[in-house]
Amino acid sequence: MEHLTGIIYNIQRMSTEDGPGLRSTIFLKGCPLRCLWCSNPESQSFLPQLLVFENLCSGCGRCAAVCPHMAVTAKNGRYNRDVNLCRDCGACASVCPAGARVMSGAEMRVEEAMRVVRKDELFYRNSGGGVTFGGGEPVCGGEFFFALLEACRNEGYHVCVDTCGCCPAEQFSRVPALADLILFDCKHMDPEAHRRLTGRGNRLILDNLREALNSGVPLRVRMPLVPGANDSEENIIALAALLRDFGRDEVDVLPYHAFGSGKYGALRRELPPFQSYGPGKLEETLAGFARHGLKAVLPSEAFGA
Amino acid sequence: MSTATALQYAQENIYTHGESRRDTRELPFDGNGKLTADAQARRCGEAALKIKEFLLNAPQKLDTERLAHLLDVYREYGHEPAIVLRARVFERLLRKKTLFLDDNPLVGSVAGCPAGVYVYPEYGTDWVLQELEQPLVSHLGEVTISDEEKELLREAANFFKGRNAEARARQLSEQLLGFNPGKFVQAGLFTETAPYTIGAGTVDYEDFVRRGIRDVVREVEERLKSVPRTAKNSGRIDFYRAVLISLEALADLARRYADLAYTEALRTEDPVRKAELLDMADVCRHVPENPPRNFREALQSWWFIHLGVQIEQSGCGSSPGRLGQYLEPYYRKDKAENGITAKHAEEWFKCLFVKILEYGYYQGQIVSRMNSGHTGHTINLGGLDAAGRDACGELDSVLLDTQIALQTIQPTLTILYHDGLSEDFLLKAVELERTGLGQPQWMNNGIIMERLYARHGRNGITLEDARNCINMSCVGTGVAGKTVFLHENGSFNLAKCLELALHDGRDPLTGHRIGARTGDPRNFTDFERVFRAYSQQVEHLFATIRPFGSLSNKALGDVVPPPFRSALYSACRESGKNIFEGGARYYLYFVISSAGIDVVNSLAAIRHLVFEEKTITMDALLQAVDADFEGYGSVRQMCLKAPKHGNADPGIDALARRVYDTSMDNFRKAEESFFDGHIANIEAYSLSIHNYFGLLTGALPSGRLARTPLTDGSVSATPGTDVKGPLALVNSAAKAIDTVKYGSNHFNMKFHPSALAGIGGARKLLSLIKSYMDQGGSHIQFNVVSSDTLRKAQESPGKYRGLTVRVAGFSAYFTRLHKGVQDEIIRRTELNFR
Repeated sequence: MEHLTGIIYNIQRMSTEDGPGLRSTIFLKGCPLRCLWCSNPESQSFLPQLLVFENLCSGCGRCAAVCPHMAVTAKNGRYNRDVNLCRDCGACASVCPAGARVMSGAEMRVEEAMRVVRKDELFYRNSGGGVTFGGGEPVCGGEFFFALLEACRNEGYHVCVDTCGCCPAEQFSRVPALADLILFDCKHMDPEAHRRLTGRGNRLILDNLREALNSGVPLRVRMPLVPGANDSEENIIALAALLRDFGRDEVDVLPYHAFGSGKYGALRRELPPFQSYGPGKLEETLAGFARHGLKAVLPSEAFGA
Repeated sequence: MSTATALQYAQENIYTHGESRRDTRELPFDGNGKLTADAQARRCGEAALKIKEFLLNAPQKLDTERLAHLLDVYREYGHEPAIVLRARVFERLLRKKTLFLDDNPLVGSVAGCPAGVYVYPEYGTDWVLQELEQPLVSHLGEVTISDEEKELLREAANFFKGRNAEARARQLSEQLLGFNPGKFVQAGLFTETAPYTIGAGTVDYEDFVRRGIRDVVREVEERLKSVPRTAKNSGRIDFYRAVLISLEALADLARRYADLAYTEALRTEDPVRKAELLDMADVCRHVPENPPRNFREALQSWWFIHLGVQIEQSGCGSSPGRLGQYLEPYYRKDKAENGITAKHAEEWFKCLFVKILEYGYYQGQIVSRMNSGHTGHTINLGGLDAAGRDACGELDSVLLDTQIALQTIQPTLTILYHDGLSEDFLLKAVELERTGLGQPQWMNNGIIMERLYARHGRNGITLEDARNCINMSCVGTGVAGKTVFLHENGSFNLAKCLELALHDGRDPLTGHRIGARTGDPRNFTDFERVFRAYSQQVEHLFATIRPFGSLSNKALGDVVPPPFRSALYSACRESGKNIFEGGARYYLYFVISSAGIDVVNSLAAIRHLVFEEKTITMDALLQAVDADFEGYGSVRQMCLKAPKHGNADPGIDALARRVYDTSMDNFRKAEESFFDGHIANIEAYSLSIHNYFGLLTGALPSGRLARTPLTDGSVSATPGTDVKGPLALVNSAAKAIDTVKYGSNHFNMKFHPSALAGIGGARKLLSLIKSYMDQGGSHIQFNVVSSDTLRKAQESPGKYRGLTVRVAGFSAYFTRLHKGVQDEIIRRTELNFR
C-alpha cells in the first residue's frame, strides 16, 4: 500500500474546527459535487491546478518568460493567464518570486503525507487531537485514501473523516469501521434542490448517512448554512425529522462565508452568488432550528468540552 | 458610584445623622466616619482609569530637580566614600524632592511631576552632551524640557564629564587592556553597560514588607555595632552607614507623604475626599516603617520600597516577583477580619498598575531604541511553593482579572507554567490572552529550575530557592529576593559577527576593522569553512568585549554603588558588601545576544545556494549583499526563497541549535569572571534591540536589506518566513536553543483570534503551550493579531505570508484573500471573532 499515491492540495497543520483538539487536516483533491457556495473551489477538480493571485503579482514577468503554452496575459503591469491556453503545468509557479502563482495539488505517497502528519503528534497527544481527512471528497481518493487512513490508525491517531457522503456505497461502507469520528455534510433534504445546488441528487448521500448512523460510529451531522439556498423552514423541518428518527436533536452548522472568493479569482471563476449573513440574521436563522427541536451548534462550540 | 453621588450621599448622611433608615451599606462612610471598603474600592477603580487615560496621552517630562540636588550633594559630600556619597544623594532626594498627590489613593511617585523621568549623568554623560543639541526623543515622543532646565542638564553633564561610570570604565580599559570600545559600538557589535542605569531584577520585597523598615534598621545597627573597628573592615562599616542613611530616608519619605495627605485633608471641602486623605495619611504613617496591618497597607508598603529602588536608579528590569503570593497572607487576614473581597483587591491592584505604568526613564536614543520604553515590571503568577505544590493563591487570579479589566502595557504578567496549575486559572489566563494585550507571557517552571541548578550549582543553590524562581525582568530568570540583575555588557549582535566573517573582519558599513582576519570567503570551499569563520568571529569578539564588561562593572562599583538596592538583599546585609562587591547570594550577570535567527537564516541560505544547489557563487552572493541587493533583485529572491527557521525543517532546526551552542561555547572560552564563583551568562532575547542593531547592520544573505530591523526574540521566525503553520513554528522554536544553558529564550508568536474562539480554542491554546514546554521551550508569548496588523498585512503582504485564517473546513492565507473579504475579516476581528 505504501506505493499508492494521491493528489493532496493541503495538509493544514493546527486545524482547530475539524474535530476535537489540535489536528492536521489532509485535504484530498477532487469532489463529485459542485456546490455553488464551495469555499475551496480548487478542491473540486481531481487534478493539480494553477492558482494565480493577481493581487500579489509584483509584475516581474518571469512567468511570461517561462510559460511553454503562451498562456500568460499582462494588464496594467500585472500578469494573469488565459484559461483556455493554460494547461496547469506549473512552470510559472516554480519561478514566481512573489508567491502569486502557486500550484494547488501535488501527488504524494502515503509515507510522504505521514511524514508531515507525524511532526505534530505531541500536539495531538496533549490536546486530544489527531488527523482529519477533508477534501474535496476524501473517500473518492479510493485506495490511497484508505491506505492513508489505515496508516494513521496504525500510529494510534484519532482519525476523523469529513465527508459529503457522495461516494459509492461499497467504498463508503468501509469508513465507519476505520474512523473514530465522521463529520457528515447534509446540504439539502430535497432531491431536486440538492441537484440544483450541488449538481447531483441526494439519494446516495442519504443512504450513506443512514448506514453510517446505523453503524454506531461517532458522527456529527454538519450543514453548510447558505442564505437563501438551504436555510428555509421546510429544509430545517425535513432535516429535524430525519435526525429524530435516529434519536438526534443536534446539528453542526457552518454559516456561509465568502473567504473563498480569492480562490475563485485565482481560478478565474465567477464568484458564488451568495452573501454571508448580516448582523442578527444568523441568530434569526438559528432560532428557526430551535423551533423545530434542533440544536444548532457553531464550529467553535462543537468540540469545546 | 461617581464622586458627585458619593458626595451627595455623604451630605445626606451628615444632615440625617442618627435618623437615616437608609441601608448603611450604600453609604460611603462607616460608623467611625471612615470610608467603607466598598466606597474606597470604587474610588480606586475610577482613579486608576482616569490616570491611565491621562498617561496614554501625557508626554514624558524630564524632571531636572534631581540634578540640582545631585550637584549640591556631590559638592558637599565629595569627600565621603562612594557608597556613603550615593546614600547622601538618595537621602537628599527623598527628603527634598517635590511631592504631589493625584487621585490615586496609593501614594508616591518617582519624580516631582506626573509622568516625570529622571536623568542620571553620573552613569554616563556622552549621550547627554551629544543629544542636548537636538530634540530629546523617547519612545513616547518628544521629551519636554525648558531652556533653563537644559542649562542645568548641561551643567550636570559637564560636572560629571570624566568622573562618571562610563568614563571610569573607558579609563580602566585604556589602562589595563588598551581597548577602546568606540568603534565596536559604532559598528553595532555591542552596547556598553556603564552609561545606563538598569533595574534591580528583584529585591527581597517579601521580607521588607513583612518586617517593616524599623526592624531592618535594628538589624543593621546590630551588625554595625558588632563589626570590629579595623582598617580592613572600614568598607563594611561604610556600607552599613550608607544603608542606615538610605533606610531612614525612605521612612522619612513616607512621613512626608503622610503630612502632605493630612494637609490636603484639612484644605478640602469634599467630605469623601477628606476621609480618603486622612486614611492615606494614616497608612503612610504606619508603613513601610512597621509591619502592615492589612492588605492595603501591604500594597502601599510594597510601593514605597519599590519607589526607593526606582528613585535610586531608574531603569529597565524591576520585577515585583510573586507579588500576589506574598501579599496573599495580608489579603486572607483582611478577608477574614474585615470582609474585604476579591473585587476590592482588584481595584487596589489597578491603583498599583497605573503607578507602574507611570514609571519611566530616559537615557538617550540608544536605550530608547533598544528598549522602546519597556520597563520590565513583571509580576509572576503560578509556579511552585517551597514544598513543591502549586503556589497559586487567590490573588494570582485577581491579578489576571485586574489586567483583563485595565489592560496596561506595564506591568506585564508572567505565568510560571507547570502541569499542576488549575484549569480555572489557566482558562482565565487565556481570557487575558484574548484581549490582544500580549499577556500573560508563559514560562516553563521546570526549565527555569533546571537552569538555576546549572547556573548556581557552584553557589550551592537549595531546592527551596530553585522552587522560588521567577522571571525577574523581561525574560531573565532568578531566585525571588536573592538574585541580583547586572549586565556584563549591554547587548551583543550575532548578525554583526556573520557580517564580519563575510568581510574578513572588516565592518562593511563603517569600514572599521573590528573582527578577526578569518579569510576571504570567496576562497571557502565548503560550508564548514564559512561556519568556522563565523564561529571564530564570535570567539574573538566575546574575548574582546568580555574583559571590558568586567571593567565596566568595576567602574559602576567604584562610581555608583547602590546602598539602598543592596540593603534589600539579606546576603548583602550579612556580608556588609554591596551588590558590586559580590555581596548577594545569586547573580544574573549577563549579556543579551540578539539576531541569532538572522544568522541561522543567512547561513542556511549560503549552505543551500552556494554549496548544495550551487545556484550562485559566493562571489556573486557577496556582490549582491554588498550592493544591498540593488540591481540584484533575482539574487534576493533566491535568498528569500532559501530554507528558513520556523518550518520544522530538521536541517535548519539543527543549524539553529548549532549557531546558539557555538555562541555559548565561545562565550565560555573567554575565562572572565568579575564575581568570584558567579558565572556570567548569555540571555537570548531582543526587547527592541533587533531594531537598534538593525539600523547598524548591512544586508544579509537571508535576503534582509541593510538598515532594516533584525528578527525579534531569539527563536521567533523572521516575519513572513514561517509558512508551515503555527505548530511547525512551535516545534522549531522549542528546538532552536538549549533553554537550560541559556539564561532565557524569547518566542513571540502571532495568532489570529479565530484560532482562539470559544472554550475549545482556549483549551487548544493551552495544549499548544504545553506541547512547546514539553519539548523544552522556556518562554512563549502571543500577539493575538489585531485589526491594525491585518491592515498592515493588506499593505505589505510579503511580511505576513504565514498569517492564516481558520474557519471550519476551510483554510487560506490572509494575504491571498480578496480585498473585500480581508475587510470583512478585519471587521470581524474588531468584534473579537465571536
